Amino acid sequence: MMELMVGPVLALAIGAGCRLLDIPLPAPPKLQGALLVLAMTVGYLLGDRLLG
Amino acid sequence: MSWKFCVGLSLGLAIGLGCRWLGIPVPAPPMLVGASLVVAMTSGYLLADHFIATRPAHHRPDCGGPSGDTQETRT
Repeated sequence: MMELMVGPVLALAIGAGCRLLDIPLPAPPKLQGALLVLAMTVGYLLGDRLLG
Repeated sequence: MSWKFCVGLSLGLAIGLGCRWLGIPVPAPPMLVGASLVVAMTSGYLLADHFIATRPAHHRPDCGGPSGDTQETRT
């Protein structure tokens, strides 16, 4: 449970730190791109559930 | 929400489904927690961008993943 709370906070800090220090971010710099990554994962998990 | 974004989301879902169906490695984290961390990283980047908008980010084109930018918009 603790890891689930630390993860998002760390990810937010990494994103903010990359912008503050002007370092390339290991994720899409736009929300649409990140949502597309999420959509691919959801599609993969849906396929996993459908195919058993 | 524009129709192009909806088409993109549908394509993302189809790519994920197709990758699982054909047994191809998916170009995204295969777990929902990992994908949520990607969204959280992008959210942190955008939040910081909102607060220091006076200083331009020179390395935005080097950031990973699909940004929606085209070559025309970058130049």
